Amino acid sequence: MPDHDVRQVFDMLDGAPTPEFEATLKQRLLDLVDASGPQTITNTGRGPDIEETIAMVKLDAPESSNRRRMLQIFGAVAAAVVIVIVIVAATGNSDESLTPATAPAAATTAPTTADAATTTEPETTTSTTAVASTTVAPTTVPAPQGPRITLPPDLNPGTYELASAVVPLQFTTTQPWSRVLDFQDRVVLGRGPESADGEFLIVFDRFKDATPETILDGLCTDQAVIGAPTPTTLMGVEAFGAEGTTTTACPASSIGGSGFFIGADRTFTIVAAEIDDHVVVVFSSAPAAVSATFIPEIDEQVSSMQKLG
Amino acid sequence: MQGTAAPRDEGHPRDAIAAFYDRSVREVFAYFHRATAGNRQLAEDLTQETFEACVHAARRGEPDALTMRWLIGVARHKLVDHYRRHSREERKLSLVWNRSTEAAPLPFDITSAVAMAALAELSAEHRLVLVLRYLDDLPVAEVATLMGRSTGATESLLVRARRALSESLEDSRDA
Repeated sequence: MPDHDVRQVFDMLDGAPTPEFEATLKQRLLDLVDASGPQTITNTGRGPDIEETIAMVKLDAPESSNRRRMLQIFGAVAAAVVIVIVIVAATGNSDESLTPATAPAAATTAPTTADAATTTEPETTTSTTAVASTTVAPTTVPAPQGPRITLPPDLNPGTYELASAVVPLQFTTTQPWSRVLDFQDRVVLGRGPESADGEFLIVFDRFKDATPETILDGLCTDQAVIGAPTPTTLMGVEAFGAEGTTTTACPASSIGGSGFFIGADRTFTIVAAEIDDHVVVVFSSAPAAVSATFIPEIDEQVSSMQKLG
Repeated sequence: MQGTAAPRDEGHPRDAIAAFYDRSVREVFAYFHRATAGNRQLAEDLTQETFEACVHAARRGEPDALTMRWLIGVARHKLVDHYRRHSREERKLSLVWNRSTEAAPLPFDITSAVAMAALAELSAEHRLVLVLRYLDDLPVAEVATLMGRSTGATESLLVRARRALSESLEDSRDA
Protein backbone atom coordinates (compact mmCIF):
# COMPACT_ATOMS: atom_id res chain seq x y z
CA MET A 1 0.00 0.00 0.00
CA PRO A 2 1.59 3.34 -1.02
CA ASP A 3 2.28 5.95 1.63
CA HIS A 4 -0.16 8.51 0.29
CA ASP A 5 -2.96 5.94 0.43
CA VAL A 6 -2.39 5.43 4.13
CA ARG A 7 -2.54 9.18 4.68
CA GLN A 8 -5.76 9.30 2.74
CA VAL A 9 -7.33 6.74 5.03
CA PHE A 10 -6.48 8.88 8.06
CA ASP A 11 -7.77 12.00 6.35
CA MET A 12 -11.18 10.38 6.05
CA LEU A 13 -11.53 10.28 9.81
CA ASP A 14 -11.92 13.95 10.51
CA GLY A 15 -13.77 14.66 13.72
CA ALA A 16 -14.64 17.57 15.97
CA PRO A 17 -15.35 17.65 19.69
CA THR A 18 -18.90 18.23 20.78
CA PRO A 19 -19.63 21.71 22.20
CA GLU A 20 -20.57 20.07 25.50
CA PHE A 21 -17.22 18.30 25.74
CA GLU A 22 -15.36 21.47 24.83
CA ALA A 23 -17.15 23.50 27.47
CA THR A 24 -16.87 20.87 30.19
CA LEU A 25 -13.19 20.32 29.67
CA LYS A 26 -12.50 24.03 29.58
CA GLN A 27 -14.22 24.53 32.89
CA ARG A 28 -12.31 21.62 34.35
CA LEU A 29 -9.01 23.05 33.24
CA LEU A 30 -9.82 26.46 34.64
CA ASP A 31 -10.67 24.80 37.93
CA LEU A 32 -7.22 23.26 37.83
CA VAL A 33 -5.69 26.67 37.21
CA ASP A 34 -7.36 28.24 40.18
CA ALA A 35 -5.37 27.46 43.25
CA SER A 36 -8.50 27.41 45.33
CA GLY A 37 -10.46 25.21 42.95
CA PRO A 38 -10.89 21.46 43.13
CA GLN A 39 -7.90 19.75 41.60
CA THR A 40 -8.56 16.09 41.89
CA ILE A 41 -6.84 14.40 38.99
CA THR A 42 -8.70 11.50 37.48
CA ASN A 43 -8.39 9.23 34.51
CA THR A 44 -4.65 8.99 34.79
CA GLY A 45 -4.67 5.24 34.59
CA ARG A 46 -2.28 5.04 37.50
CA GLY A 47 -4.65 3.78 40.14
CA PRO A 48 -6.71 5.36 42.85
CA ASP A 49 -3.91 5.62 45.34
CA ILE A 50 -2.15 8.33 43.34
CA GLU A 51 -5.37 10.16 42.65
CA GLU A 52 -6.28 10.18 46.30
CA THR A 53 -2.85 11.35 47.31
CA ILE A 54 -2.81 14.18 44.80
CA ALA A 55 -6.32 15.22 45.74
CA MET A 56 -5.39 15.21 49.39
CA VAL A 57 -2.43 17.43 48.75
CA LYS A 58 -3.99 19.88 46.37
CA LEU A 59 -7.54 20.44 47.46
CA ASP A 60 -8.11 24.00 48.54
CA ALA A 61 -4.46 24.67 49.09
CA PRO A 62 -2.20 27.31 47.56
CA GLU A 63 0.92 26.20 45.80
CA SER A 64 3.33 26.93 48.63
CA SER A 65 1.09 25.16 51.07
CA ASN A 66 0.92 22.23 48.70
CA ARG A 67 4.63 21.87 48.81
CA ARG A 68 4.67 21.92 52.58
CA ARG A 69 1.94 19.34 52.74
CA MET A 70 3.70 17.22 50.18
CA LEU A 71 6.81 17.36 52.30
CA GLN A 72 4.77 16.48 55.36
CA ILE A 73 3.35 13.49 53.57
CA PHE A 74 6.77 12.56 52.29
CA GLY A 75 8.05 12.72 55.83
CA ALA A 76 5.14 10.67 57.02
CA VAL A 77 5.82 8.07 54.38
CA ALA A 78 9.40 7.90 55.52
CA ALA A 79 8.15 7.58 59.07
CA ALA A 80 5.77 4.85 58.00
CA VAL A 81 8.62 3.00 56.37
CA VAL A 82 10.58 3.32 59.58
CA ILE A 83 7.58 1.95 61.42
CA VAL A 84 7.34 -1.01 59.13
CA ILE A 85 11.04 -1.67 59.47
CA VAL A 86 10.77 -1.59 63.24
CA ILE A 87 7.67 -3.71 63.29
CA VAL A 88 8.91 -6.15 60.74
CA ALA A 89 12.12 -6.49 62.63
CA ALA A 90 10.07 -7.14 65.71
CA THR A 91 8.16 -9.99 64.12
CA GLY A 92 11.13 -12.24 63.68
CA ASN A 93 10.91 -14.99 61.12
CA SER A 94 12.47 -18.37 60.94
CA ASP A 95 12.11 -18.55 57.18
CA GLU A 96 15.67 -18.47 55.92
CA SER A 97 14.74 -18.67 52.30
CA LEU A 98 16.70 -15.55 51.51
CA THR A 99 20.25 -16.23 52.43
CA PRO A 100 23.50 -14.62 51.43
CA ALA A 101 25.06 -17.28 49.27
CA THR A 102 28.56 -15.88 49.25
CA ALA A 103 28.32 -12.86 51.48
CA PRO A 104 30.82 -12.30 54.25
CA ALA A 105 29.93 -13.83 57.56
CA ALA A 106 29.01 -10.45 58.98
CA ALA A 107 26.06 -10.28 56.62
CA THR A 108 24.46 -13.48 57.78
CA THR A 109 21.49 -13.29 60.01
CA ALA A 110 22.52 -12.71 63.57
CA PRO A 111 19.24 -11.96 65.35
CA THR A 112 18.91 -8.43 66.56
CA THR A 113 17.29 -7.49 69.83
CA ALA A 114 14.12 -6.62 68.00
CA ASP A 115 14.11 -10.00 66.32
CA ALA A 116 13.59 -11.64 69.66
CA ALA A 117 10.16 -10.10 70.01
CA THR A 118 7.15 -11.59 68.29
CA THR A 119 4.27 -9.73 66.73
CA THR A 120 1.95 -11.63 64.48
CA GLU A 121 0.29 -8.70 62.71
CA PRO A 122 3.06 -6.26 61.88
CA GLU A 123 1.04 -4.05 59.56
CA THR A 124 -1.59 -3.22 62.15
CA THR A 125 0.59 -2.76 65.18
CA THR A 126 0.82 0.88 66.20
CA SER A 127 2.34 0.94 69.64
CA THR A 128 6.05 0.93 69.07
CA THR A 129 8.25 3.78 70.21
CA ALA A 130 8.91 4.87 66.64
CA VAL A 131 5.21 5.21 65.92
CA ALA A 132 4.43 7.36 68.89
CA SER A 133 6.78 10.14 67.95
CA THR A 134 6.68 10.34 64.18
CA THR A 135 3.29 9.51 62.68
CA VAL A 136 1.82 12.66 61.11
CA ALA A 137 -0.39 12.04 58.12
CA PRO A 138 -2.82 9.28 57.19
CA THR A 139 -0.52 7.87 54.59
CA THR A 140 -0.27 4.12 54.62
CA VAL A 141 2.25 1.60 53.47
CA PRO A 142 0.39 -1.17 51.67
CA ALA A 143 0.13 -4.54 53.26
CA PRO A 144 2.66 -6.97 51.91
CA GLN A 145 1.67 -9.99 49.91
CA GLY A 146 2.66 -13.23 51.56
CA PRO A 147 5.16 -13.86 54.30
CA ARG A 148 8.48 -12.19 54.72
CA ILE A 149 11.60 -13.64 53.27
CA THR A 150 14.30 -12.94 55.75
CA LEU A 151 17.18 -10.82 54.64
CA PRO A 152 20.04 -9.72 56.88
CA PRO A 153 19.71 -6.14 58.12
CA ASP A 154 23.00 -5.23 56.51
CA LEU A 155 24.01 -6.54 53.15
CA ASN A 156 27.71 -6.46 52.54
CA PRO A 157 28.98 -7.02 49.02
CA GLY A 158 28.12 -10.55 48.00
CA THR A 159 25.54 -12.72 46.33
CA TYR A 160 22.09 -13.12 47.85
CA GLU A 161 19.32 -15.53 47.01
CA LEU A 162 15.63 -14.67 47.14
CA ALA A 163 14.36 -18.22 47.05
CA SER A 164 10.85 -17.39 48.28
CA ALA A 165 10.24 -14.34 46.14
CA VAL A 166 7.39 -14.40 43.64
CA VAL A 167 10.04 -15.04 41.03
CA PRO A 168 12.92 -16.72 42.85
CA LEU A 169 16.17 -15.03 41.96
CA GLN A 170 19.63 -14.12 43.10
CA PHE A 171 21.61 -10.93 42.75
CA THR A 172 25.08 -9.71 43.57
CA THR A 173 25.91 -6.43 45.25
CA THR A 174 29.21 -4.67 44.94
CA GLN A 175 28.44 -2.04 47.57
CA PRO A 176 26.79 -2.30 50.99
CA TRP A 177 23.05 -1.98 51.41
CA SER A 178 20.64 -2.05 54.32
CA ARG A 179 17.46 -4.05 54.30
CA VAL A 180 14.34 -1.90 54.35
CA LEU A 181 11.64 -4.41 53.45
CA ASP A 182 11.73 -7.98 52.27
CA PHE A 183 8.51 -9.68 51.39
CA GLN A 184 7.68 -12.16 48.70
CA ASP A 185 6.32 -9.44 46.45
CA ARG A 186 9.00 -6.82 47.05
CA VAL A 187 12.45 -6.33 48.37
CA VAL A 188 13.58 -2.84 49.26
CA LEU A 189 17.16 -1.97 50.05
CA GLY A 190 18.36 1.41 51.20
CA ARG A 191 21.51 3.36 51.80
CA GLY A 192 21.82 6.23 54.23
CA PRO A 193 19.14 7.58 56.56
CA GLU A 194 15.71 6.84 55.10
CA SER A 195 17.40 5.61 51.92
CA ALA A 196 18.41 9.18 51.15
CA ASP A 197 21.70 8.10 49.63
CA GLY A 198 20.28 5.34 47.49
CA GLU A 199 17.45 2.86 47.19
CA PHE A 200 16.96 -0.35 45.27
CA LEU A 201 13.64 -2.11 44.84
CA ILE A 202 12.62 -5.36 43.27
CA VAL A 203 8.84 -5.56 43.11
CA PHE A 204 6.48 -8.11 41.66
CA ASP A 205 2.94 -7.58 40.41
CA ARG A 206 2.39 -4.41 42.40
CA PHE A 207 -0.03 -2.81 39.98
CA LYS A 208 -3.20 -4.39 38.67
CA ASP A 209 -3.26 -5.06 34.93
CA ALA A 210 0.13 -3.44 34.50
CA THR A 211 2.57 -4.31 31.79
CA PRO A 212 6.26 -3.48 31.74
CA GLU A 213 5.47 -0.66 29.34
CA THR A 214 2.74 0.89 31.45
CA ILE A 215 4.88 0.71 34.55
CA LEU A 216 7.35 3.00 32.86
CA ASP A 217 4.66 5.21 31.40
CA GLY A 218 3.07 5.80 34.78
CA LEU A 219 6.19 6.87 36.56
CA CYS A 220 6.31 10.55 37.48
CA THR A 221 5.41 11.62 33.97
CA ASP A 222 5.06 15.26 34.84
CA GLN A 223 7.66 15.51 37.58
CA ALA A 224 10.69 14.02 35.92
CA VAL A 225 12.79 14.20 32.81
CA ILE A 226 12.77 10.64 31.54
CA GLY A 227 14.63 9.17 28.62
CA ALA A 228 12.77 7.13 26.05
CA PRO A 229 12.25 3.54 27.14
CA THR A 230 14.79 1.27 25.54
CA PRO A 231 14.72 -2.48 25.06
CA THR A 232 16.95 -4.40 27.42
CA THR A 233 16.92 -7.71 29.25
CA LEU A 234 16.18 -8.70 32.81
CA MET A 235 17.23 -12.14 33.93
CA GLY A 236 17.49 -13.13 30.31
CA VAL A 237 14.01 -11.92 29.43
CA GLU A 238 13.09 -9.08 27.09
CA ALA A 239 12.48 -5.94 29.14
CA PHE A 240 12.02 -2.20 28.95
CA GLY A 241 14.39 0.13 30.73
CA ALA A 242 14.59 3.85 31.29
CA GLU A 243 16.54 6.43 33.24
CA GLY A 244 15.39 9.78 34.48
CA THR A 245 15.81 12.55 36.97
CA THR A 246 13.03 13.95 39.08
CA THR A 247 12.47 17.67 39.25
CA THR A 248 10.04 17.50 42.15
CA ALA A 249 9.03 14.75 44.53
CA CYS A 250 6.43 12.53 42.97
CA PRO A 251 4.29 9.56 43.91
CA ALA A 252 5.27 6.29 42.30
CA SER A 253 2.76 3.84 43.63
CA SER A 254 2.91 1.76 40.47
CA ILE A 255 6.23 0.43 41.64
CA GLY A 256 6.36 0.96 45.35
CA GLY A 257 2.76 0.92 46.49
CA SER A 258 0.58 3.61 47.98
CA GLY A 259 2.55 6.33 49.67
CA PHE A 260 5.81 5.64 47.86
CA PHE A 261 7.45 8.84 46.69
CA ILE A 262 10.57 9.56 44.77
CA GLY A 263 12.32 12.61 46.16
CA ALA A 264 13.22 15.67 44.16
CA ASP A 265 16.41 15.91 42.14
CA ARG A 266 17.10 12.20 42.15
CA THR A 267 18.35 10.10 39.31
CA PHE A 268 16.49 6.87 38.89
CA THR A 269 16.70 3.76 36.77
CA ILE A 270 13.89 1.36 36.11
CA VAL A 271 13.73 -1.95 34.30
CA ALA A 272 10.49 -3.86 33.88
CA ALA A 273 9.81 -7.24 32.37
CA GLU A 274 7.20 -9.95 32.32
CA ILE A 275 8.79 -13.04 33.73
CA ASP A 276 6.89 -16.28 34.26
CA ASP A 277 3.59 -14.37 34.01
CA HIS A 278 4.67 -11.86 36.65
CA VAL A 279 5.51 -8.22 36.06
CA VAL A 280 8.89 -7.68 37.66
CA VAL A 281 10.15 -4.15 38.20
CA VAL A 282 13.64 -3.26 39.34
CA PHE A 283 13.89 0.35 40.44
CA SER A 284 16.67 2.39 41.95
CA SER A 285 17.25 6.02 42.77
CA ALA A 286 19.91 8.19 44.32
CA PRO A 287 20.72 11.89 44.50
CA ALA A 288 21.45 13.15 41.01
CA ALA A 289 24.84 14.36 42.21
CA VAL A 290 26.09 10.78 42.59
CA SER A 291 24.50 9.33 39.46
CA ALA A 292 27.87 8.94 37.74
CA THR A 293 28.86 6.23 40.18
CA PHE A 294 25.44 5.01 41.19
CA ILE A 295 24.08 4.10 37.77
CA PRO A 296 27.02 1.87 36.78
CA GLU A 297 26.73 0.16 40.15
CA ILE A 298 23.04 -0.46 39.62
CA ASP A 299 23.57 -1.61 36.05
CA GLU A 300 26.01 -4.20 37.33
CA GLN A 301 23.64 -5.24 40.09
CA VAL A 302 20.73 -5.63 37.67
CA SER A 303 22.91 -7.56 35.25
CA SER A 304 23.84 -9.94 38.04
CA MET A 305 20.23 -10.91 38.65
CA GLN A 306 19.46 -14.50 37.70
CA LYS A 307 16.42 -16.67 38.11
CA LEU A 308 16.76 -19.55 40.51
CA GLY A 309 15.70 -23.01 39.64
CA MET B 1 -1.17 17.57 13.61
CA GLN B 2 1.42 20.12 12.62
CA GLY B 3 4.08 21.55 14.89
CA THR B 4 3.59 25.20 14.14
CA ALA B 5 4.14 27.48 17.05
CA ALA B 6 1.19 29.48 18.27
CA PRO B 7 1.53 32.96 19.65
CA ARG B 8 1.78 32.93 23.41
CA ASP B 9 -0.75 34.85 25.40
CA GLU B 10 0.38 37.32 27.98
CA GLY B 11 -1.47 38.45 31.05
CA HIS B 12 -3.18 36.34 33.69
CA PRO B 13 -2.33 32.64 33.44
CA ARG B 14 -6.01 31.73 33.60
CA ASP B 15 -6.77 33.86 30.55
CA ALA B 16 -3.72 32.60 28.72
CA ILE B 17 -4.68 28.98 29.30
CA ALA B 18 -8.29 29.61 28.31
CA ALA B 19 -7.23 31.32 25.10
CA PHE B 20 -4.73 28.62 24.28
CA TYR B 21 -7.34 25.95 24.92
CA ASP B 22 -9.84 27.66 22.62
CA ARG B 23 -7.27 27.84 19.86
CA SER B 24 -6.03 24.29 20.07
CA VAL B 25 -8.69 21.96 21.46
CA ARG B 26 -10.27 21.13 18.12
CA GLU B 27 -6.96 20.34 16.52
CA VAL B 28 -5.94 18.13 19.42
CA PHE B 29 -9.26 16.32 19.41
CA ALA B 30 -9.14 15.83 15.63
CA TYR B 31 -5.67 14.35 15.95
CA PHE B 32 -6.81 11.84 18.54
CA HIS B 33 -9.99 11.11 16.61
CA ARG B 34 -7.97 10.09 13.59
CA ALA B 35 -5.33 8.30 15.60
CA THR B 36 -7.87 6.20 17.46
CA ALA B 37 -9.79 5.17 14.37
CA GLY B 38 -12.68 7.46 15.15
CA ASN B 39 -13.15 6.34 18.75
CA ARG B 40 -14.81 9.48 20.10
CA GLN B 41 -14.79 8.49 23.76
CA LEU B 42 -11.14 7.62 23.67
CA ALA B 43 -10.31 10.79 21.77
CA GLU B 44 -12.06 12.80 24.48
CA ASP B 45 -10.18 11.00 27.24
CA LEU B 46 -6.82 11.56 25.61
CA THR B 47 -7.63 15.18 24.84
CA GLN B 48 -8.49 15.72 28.47
CA GLU B 49 -5.30 14.06 29.69
CA THR B 50 -3.24 16.15 27.30
CA PHE B 51 -4.69 19.46 28.41
CA GLU B 52 -4.46 18.53 32.07
CA ALA B 53 -0.76 17.88 31.59
CA CYS B 54 -0.53 21.22 29.83
CA VAL B 55 -2.16 23.05 32.72
CA HIS B 56 0.05 21.36 35.29
CA ALA B 57 3.13 22.27 33.28
CA ALA B 58 1.96 25.87 32.92
CA ARG B 59 1.42 26.12 36.67
CA ARG B 60 4.90 24.77 37.27
CA GLY B 61 6.26 27.54 35.09
CA GLU B 62 7.19 25.39 32.11
CA PRO B 63 7.98 28.13 29.57
CA ASP B 64 6.78 26.19 26.52
CA ALA B 65 3.64 24.74 28.06
CA LEU B 66 1.33 27.00 26.10
CA THR B 67 2.79 26.33 22.69
CA MET B 68 1.47 23.98 20.06
CA ARG B 69 4.83 22.28 19.78
CA TRP B 70 4.83 21.33 23.45
CA LEU B 71 1.18 20.31 23.32
CA ILE B 72 1.77 18.08 20.31
CA GLY B 73 4.65 16.39 22.08
CA VAL B 74 2.44 15.66 25.07
CA ALA B 75 -0.39 14.43 22.85
CA ARG B 76 1.90 12.08 21.02
CA HIS B 77 3.22 10.63 24.25
CA LYS B 78 -0.33 10.19 25.57
CA LEU B 79 -1.16 8.27 22.42
CA VAL B 80 1.92 6.09 22.69
CA ASP B 81 1.10 5.47 26.35
CA HIS B 82 -2.41 4.43 25.44
CA TYR B 83 -1.34 2.00 22.76
CA ARG B 84 1.33 0.50 24.96
CA ARG B 85 -1.30 -0.16 27.60
CA HIS B 86 -3.37 -2.07 25.11
CA SER B 87 -0.72 -3.80 23.08
CA ARG B 88 -0.14 -6.58 25.57
CA GLU B 89 -3.66 -7.95 25.38
CA GLU B 90 -3.71 -7.68 21.65
CA ARG B 91 -0.45 -9.52 21.34
CA LYS B 92 -2.34 -12.71 22.05
CA LEU B 93 -4.68 -12.01 19.18
CA SER B 94 -1.97 -11.18 16.70
CA LEU B 95 -1.29 -14.83 15.99
CA VAL B 96 -4.84 -15.20 14.81
CA TRP B 97 -4.77 -11.96 12.90
CA ASN B 98 -1.43 -12.47 11.21
CA ARG B 99 -2.13 -13.59 7.67
CA SER B 100 0.26 -14.42 4.90
CA THR B 101 -1.74 -13.33 1.90
CA GLU B 102 -0.37 -10.52 -0.23
CA ALA B 103 -2.00 -7.14 0.13
CA ALA B 104 -4.52 -6.09 -2.46
CA PRO B 105 -4.53 -2.58 -3.97
CA LEU B 106 -6.34 0.05 -1.97
CA PRO B 107 -10.01 0.18 -2.86
CA PHE B 108 -10.59 3.88 -3.30
CA ASP B 109 -14.33 3.67 -3.26
CA ILE B 110 -14.18 3.27 0.50
CA THR B 111 -16.24 5.47 2.74
CA SER B 112 -15.16 7.07 6.00
CA ALA B 113 -17.08 4.35 7.81
CA VAL B 114 -15.06 1.70 6.03
CA ALA B 115 -11.82 3.54 6.81
CA MET B 116 -12.85 3.82 10.44
CA ALA B 117 -13.71 0.15 10.66
CA ALA B 118 -10.52 -0.88 8.92
CA LEU B 119 -8.30 1.14 11.26
CA ALA B 120 -10.25 -0.08 14.26
CA GLU B 121 -9.54 -3.66 13.23
CA LEU B 122 -5.79 -3.14 13.34
CA SER B 123 -3.75 -4.19 16.32
CA ALA B 124 -2.68 -1.38 18.63
CA GLU B 125 0.90 -1.76 17.50
CA HIS B 126 0.03 -1.53 13.82
CA ARG B 127 -2.24 1.43 14.33
CA LEU B 128 0.34 3.29 16.39
CA VAL B 129 3.13 2.86 13.91
CA LEU B 130 0.88 4.07 11.09
CA VAL B 131 -0.27 7.06 13.12
CA LEU B 132 3.24 8.13 14.00
CA ARG B 133 4.56 7.63 10.50
CA TYR B 134 1.69 8.86 8.34
CA LEU B 135 -0.50 11.03 10.53
CA ASP B 136 2.35 12.70 12.41
CA ASP B 137 4.74 12.44 9.46
CA LEU B 138 7.60 11.48 11.73
CA PRO B 139 10.74 9.98 10.23
CA VAL B 140 11.13 6.25 10.80
CA ALA B 141 14.02 6.81 13.21
CA GLU B 142 11.85 8.98 15.44
CA VAL B 143 8.99 6.51 15.29
CA ALA B 144 11.45 3.84 16.34
CA THR B 145 12.58 5.88 19.32
CA LEU B 146 9.05 6.56 20.46
CA MET B 147 8.12 2.90 20.19
CA GLY B 148 11.30 1.64 21.81
CA ARG B 149 12.35 -0.34 18.74
CA SER B 150 15.26 -0.41 16.35
CA THR B 151 14.90 1.37 13.04
CA GLY B 152 15.02 -1.91 11.16
CA ALA B 153 12.34 -3.46 13.33
CA THR B 154 10.18 -0.39 12.86
CA GLU B 155 10.51 -0.54 9.09
CA SER B 156 9.46 -4.18 9.17
CA LEU B 157 6.56 -3.29 11.40
CA LEU B 158 5.49 -0.58 8.97
CA VAL B 159 5.44 -3.07 6.12
CA ARG B 160 3.27 -5.44 8.12
CA ALA B 161 1.02 -2.62 9.29
CA ARG B 162 0.43 -1.35 5.76
CA ARG B 163 -0.38 -4.85 4.61
CA ALA B 164 -2.75 -5.36 7.52
CA LEU B 165 -4.48 -2.07 6.76
CA SER B 166 -4.93 -3.00 3.13
CA GLU B 167 -6.42 -6.36 4.08
CA SER B 168 -8.60 -4.75 6.69
CA LEU B 169 -9.93 -2.26 4.17
CA GLU B 170 -10.86 -5.11 1.87
CA ASP B 171 -12.62 -6.95 4.66
CA SER B 172 -14.43 -3.86 5.90
CA ARG B 173 -15.64 -2.95 2.44
CA ASP B 174 -16.91 -6.47 1.81
CA ALA B 175 -18.71 -6.45 5.10
